[in-house]
Amino acid sequence: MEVDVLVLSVALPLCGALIAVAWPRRCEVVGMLTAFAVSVAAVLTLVQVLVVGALQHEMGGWTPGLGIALRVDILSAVFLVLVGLVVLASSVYATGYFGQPREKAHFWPMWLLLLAALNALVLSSDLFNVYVTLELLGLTAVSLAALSGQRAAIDAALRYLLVGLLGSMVYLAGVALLYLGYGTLDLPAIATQIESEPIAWLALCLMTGGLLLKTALFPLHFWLPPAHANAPAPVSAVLSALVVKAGFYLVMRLWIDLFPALLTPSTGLLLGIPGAAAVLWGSWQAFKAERLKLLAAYSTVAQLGYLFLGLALLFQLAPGPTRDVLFGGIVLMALTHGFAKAGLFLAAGMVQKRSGNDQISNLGGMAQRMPVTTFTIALAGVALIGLPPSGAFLGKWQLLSSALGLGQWLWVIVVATGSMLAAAYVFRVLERAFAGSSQPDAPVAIAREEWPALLLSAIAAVLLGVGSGWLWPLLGNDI
Amino acid sequence: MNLSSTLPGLIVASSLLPGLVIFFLREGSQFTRTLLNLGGAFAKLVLVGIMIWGVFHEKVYATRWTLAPGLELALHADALSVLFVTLSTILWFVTTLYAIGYLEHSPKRSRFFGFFSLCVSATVGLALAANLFTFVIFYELLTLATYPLVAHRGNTEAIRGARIYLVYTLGGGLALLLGAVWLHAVAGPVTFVEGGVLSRLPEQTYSQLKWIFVLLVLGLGVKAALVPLHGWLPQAMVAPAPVSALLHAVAVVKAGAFGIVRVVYDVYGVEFAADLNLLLPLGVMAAVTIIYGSIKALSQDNLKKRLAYSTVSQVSYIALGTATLGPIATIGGVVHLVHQGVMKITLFFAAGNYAETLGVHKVSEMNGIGRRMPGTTLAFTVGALGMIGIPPVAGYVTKWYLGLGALEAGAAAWVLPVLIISSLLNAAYFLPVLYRAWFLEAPVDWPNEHPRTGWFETTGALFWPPVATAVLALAAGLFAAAPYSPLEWAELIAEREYLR
Amino acid sequence: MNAALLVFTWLSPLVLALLAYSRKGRLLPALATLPALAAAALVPSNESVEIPWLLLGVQLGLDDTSRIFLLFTAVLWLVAGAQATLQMSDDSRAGRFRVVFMLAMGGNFGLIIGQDLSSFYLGFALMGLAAYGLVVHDGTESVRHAGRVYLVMTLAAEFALLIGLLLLYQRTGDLTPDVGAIIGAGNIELTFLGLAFAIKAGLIGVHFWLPLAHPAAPVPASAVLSGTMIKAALIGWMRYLPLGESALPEFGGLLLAVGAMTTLSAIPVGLMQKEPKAVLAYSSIGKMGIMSAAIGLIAMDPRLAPAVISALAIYAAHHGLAKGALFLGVGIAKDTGASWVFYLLFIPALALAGAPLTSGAAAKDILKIALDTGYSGWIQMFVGLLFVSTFGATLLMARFLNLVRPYTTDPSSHGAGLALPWLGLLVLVLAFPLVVNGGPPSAMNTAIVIAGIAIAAVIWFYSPTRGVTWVGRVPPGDIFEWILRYIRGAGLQLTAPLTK
Repeated sequence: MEVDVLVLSVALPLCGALIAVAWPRRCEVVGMLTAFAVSVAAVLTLVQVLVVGALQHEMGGWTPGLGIALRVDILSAVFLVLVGLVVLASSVYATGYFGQPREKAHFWPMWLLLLAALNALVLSSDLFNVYVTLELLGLTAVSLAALSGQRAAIDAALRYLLVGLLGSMVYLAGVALLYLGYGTLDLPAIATQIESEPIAWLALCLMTGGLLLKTALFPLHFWLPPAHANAPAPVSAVLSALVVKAGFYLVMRLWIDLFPALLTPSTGLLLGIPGAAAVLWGSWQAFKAERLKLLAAYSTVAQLGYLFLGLALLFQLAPGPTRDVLFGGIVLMALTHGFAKAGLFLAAGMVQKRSGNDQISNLGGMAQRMPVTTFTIALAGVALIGLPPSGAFLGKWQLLSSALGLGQWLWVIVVATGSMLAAAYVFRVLERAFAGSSQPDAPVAIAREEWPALLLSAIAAVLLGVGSGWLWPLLGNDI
Repeated sequence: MNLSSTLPGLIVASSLLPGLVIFFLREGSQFTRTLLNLGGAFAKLVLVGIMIWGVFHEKVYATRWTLAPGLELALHADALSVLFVTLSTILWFVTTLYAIGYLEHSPKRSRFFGFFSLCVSATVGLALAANLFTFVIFYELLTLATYPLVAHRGNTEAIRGARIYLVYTLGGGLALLLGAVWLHAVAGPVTFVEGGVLSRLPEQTYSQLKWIFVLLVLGLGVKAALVPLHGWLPQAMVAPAPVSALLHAVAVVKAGAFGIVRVVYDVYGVEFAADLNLLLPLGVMAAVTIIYGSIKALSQDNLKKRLAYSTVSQVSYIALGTATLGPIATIGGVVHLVHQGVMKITLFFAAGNYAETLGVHKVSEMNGIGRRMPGTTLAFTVGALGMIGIPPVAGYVTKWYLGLGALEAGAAAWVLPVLIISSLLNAAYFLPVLYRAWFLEAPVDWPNEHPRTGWFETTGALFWPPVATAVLALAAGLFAAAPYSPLEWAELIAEREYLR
Repeated sequence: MNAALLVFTWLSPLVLALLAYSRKGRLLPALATLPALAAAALVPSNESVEIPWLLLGVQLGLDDTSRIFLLFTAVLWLVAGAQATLQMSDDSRAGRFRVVFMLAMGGNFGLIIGQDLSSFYLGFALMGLAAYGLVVHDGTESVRHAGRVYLVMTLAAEFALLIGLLLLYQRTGDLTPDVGAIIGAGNIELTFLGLAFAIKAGLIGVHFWLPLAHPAAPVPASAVLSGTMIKAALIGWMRYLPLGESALPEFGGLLLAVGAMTTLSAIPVGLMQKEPKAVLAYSSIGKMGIMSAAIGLIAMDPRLAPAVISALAIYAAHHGLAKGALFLGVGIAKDTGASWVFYLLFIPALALAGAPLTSGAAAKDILKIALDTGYSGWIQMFVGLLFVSTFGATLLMARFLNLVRPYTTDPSSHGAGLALPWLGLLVLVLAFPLVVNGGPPSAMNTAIVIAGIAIAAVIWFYSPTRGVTWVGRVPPGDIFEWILRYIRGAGLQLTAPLTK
């Protein structure tokens, strides 16, 4: 039973994708059912991990190193749930978003493949399998990003494709080095052997570099805003909320699980300084953005910066409760951003569809015309700024607390400035939304598209802050 | 159900849940909305009544909910929080009635009342907060809930006012957050305990504690409108009158002042704060604010702006009382939390009535308004006299205790002149208004008079709230020494703060 | 029963004021004094009722001195209230007048029977501020100017009183300190209390509001302003100086000197006035100078206390009734134009001048007898001052009658119905020496009065133009008006913010 659930997370979407290709007329139903089933599987996985602890499954009974092994601990289970819920909500939204049968037939198979790739990536415990999932993820993501067929979208998607391939290749080179040095690709197996030696260092640099490119950490973020901003709304949501997060997840895994032997407290700065720059630059660009989706995309750049900044602090702390708590904070920030950004992109899609474009200057009176959507943006904004009661508030509290505890004021200033800039770009949108009350348009309500977005934002802005107390101690056990 | 662990939570929920439901009501469903509003307000009154009874009988109420290791959302009822909760609950009830009447026919009511309820929930949560972390959460929530209220009208002026409001309050919120996190890093979780908790810390942390205090007061001072952090307040008066009333009397400004009281007494401990030499700068800041606000109020022709500057000035009485060492000054500061609230809400209700009934927004248009609207103007008069500190309206009690406290603390040489000058200035900007209202001839036509309907000078929902709060303001002064009066509660609080 | 009477003394004017706005309430100003009269007659001395929950803790009661004050105060308010009802029947603003009239009355009664600091302060403030409404009733520009000056000085007095009482309370820790507890006042405390009461009494230097305000008010209001309200200063001194217990040589000497200078300067300035009510106002200043100087004597020599204090109470009663009758008479003279009013005005005029067999002579005799309990050069000087004052008062009264004469040209006897309460007051003035027996007429006094009358008669009949060159040289409000003119000449507008 335990085993089944793990495999299902990957197998279900793969099968769904095949059926959707084979039966294009019913692809929407298939896609919805699959997304729902995967979410249920993810939740079941989390419950199991909570009950019995980390699980491992060797497919076909082959031992790790040869076959495909799936492994799940609390961290990956939580990410599974994030993936499941965001994809489910986006799927519901997509049923309303894509009207043409042709669009649907193109969208759903790729969509389910992407889901399979994400789940497999999270569950893999083998560096090569990770590479495979990364490639699959990159390719599906690119094809989805280009779905609209518009010139700008295709340009951006091509660039995305090249960057993705480059990133994967660099990563693969690092994997190859490790295999050369240690003769295995199984994560736990390497972790026990690794020492601070040139080959390990080189592998670390290559693998991290490749992943950072895919995660769009400043200054490697250049490809992200156009790609995310020009994709169809549900795709943007998943790209920004999950796909870049996958890169971060891997970096975190590698640095914490695989390479701890190499790390000195100052090594973290390699991630932290670009992180800090990303916070400032991304927030500033978001503030200047003319379009809502572009704003959201730059905001992703900034939010990823916080996560890496948090990692930099994490590596300076000695193992113990303080470090555990900070780790929990980083995870919570990642989750919060995932839900919030998905909600924001879906809402932006609503705006774009309704008024033909998503220029921020055109948003006047939105609070009256589209109250639910405005509320969604506001809730997502709360989470992005890191105001209470969002999960990001708790995360930021821990970031600041650690930085102050270490006496490192620079991080504090970066976080504070980033928060103020975030407030500025969020409220720039909300201000337009509240202004211009003269338009007498009746409010619109399309439950199928509005509610998924609202729920995602609400999870980010309220539930993760108020209802995640149980998660922290468990996360601490993981590292 | 176990009341002792749920009551504080229920009190917050009693406005939060109706507020959330109201968001999803259609504009037209007026009956349901009113029912929810008043039902929530009434339920909160009853719950707070139970709590007062309980606290008086030494029952302990605390709701706890862990958010993260070391970070607990905790609500509890001590004497100070009961005082503030009672104030906000009663005034919320009245303001809800008033707002229903005020916004009778305007659009966007569901949104308005939704945020209105959230705003009160945040205030009540902040009042009941048992630790600094919880306080920070509700403090930020209050900012979020009030922003749409300030921007409510949606015109350029409102949007501009709201933006300024936001810049100030979010900046302040950030300072408060930094201070709170820093303190958390230095001292661990900070629970509000009467008499303070920080004096046990080792001496090498003292310099950090001073900086933390600066950050905290900066953050709180924005909402409390301490000069030079007050710039948002006169701009935020573009909000509809019930919002201004709530902002100035109960929610935002009071939240800042309440926070200062909490930080000085229940985090640092007033004697420890005095040892760190933190009180004098706070006191000077408060004194400057008192005088500055009054001077600015003198030259405002817009009535609500004049009232806004008056708030700037009056709220700092609380900070002044807090910054003066000694139980008597504490009483004066704490009791002004209530007194200023009741008096200022009366003034804003009255100003709203003038605007809504006659279209009068300026002091220079108020000639003879006492004849057209005697009830409202009487309420306004009571509020204004109270602000000056004329007995028997509540304000004199504050002044008496602040003055006495200053004498006890040996700070009379600068506190007393501040009090007297401020009172004189208050007189200088309020009495001419009263003179116009009562003694000058009314114009033939008012700027924008609504036809009179019914018995009163204006609609009943607008007429009764200011009258009711004016009666409260009078009663708080007349029966100052009676049991359960604000003064008695303040004495109880002071007693407990200085017990240790 | 006694307790209820005391409470109603205070409560009835304040509560009934709420009903007095409508025309149906036009009898209320007179009726509201009845409990006070009953209390003055029935409540035994040294009985008090404590109401701990009211204000900061109230104690009401009467002693021998305050009974006299309450009695003549109530009588005067009764007569003035009744005259107001009769004479202002066609004034459209009479309702407003009645309300402020009764509020001031409530304040006045309250400060007499209130034995604790808070009710004295309440009474003092309420009376002073409500009387502003009386002063500015007519609404003309000159009246508004008088009102502004009055208001500023009243507020100054109130805040000085607040500081003084705060210092007193801080020192004694008792809201109802007895004479023994008051001993040991510091210079600051004495300065502020002294300043508050000096303003109220119109002592030289801070007297200028009085000749502006008293003539500006409608006649019934002037009567109570000059007749009873300024006596609040006397009550204050008697209550908050340690009279009879310890000597305050410097303070007493200062008060004596200032009182004497007040009297000496008021007479010539009063003689130069063009308005009968202004003459009366300066006469009031002169008399308050005498009474204050007597307080100064007691402060220097405690042995004088009991006798002189009672004598002063009687003197105050005489002055209150006579001055009230004079002011009311001016109003009746103007309203009726009947010459019989002019002749009847001789009764209070002679009484005020202290002619033999009048209340003035009796009061002065009693004062002199009381002063015989001590002997010093200061007392001799004071007796000399009394003579000068008698002479001056005689001239002032002559001047007053001279100025009233032109109003009263109608020889018929109409209008008696309008003047009924006034006639009753005249009877009281006439009967005063029968109740208060001052002994046989003093030859010296008689001589001075006759000399004064003779000089006045000479000027009146033989050279009516000789004084004219001096008349009007000094405006009401003398020094202050000159300063104001100078400032205005210099282009400064100090009062500009107040007129906004």
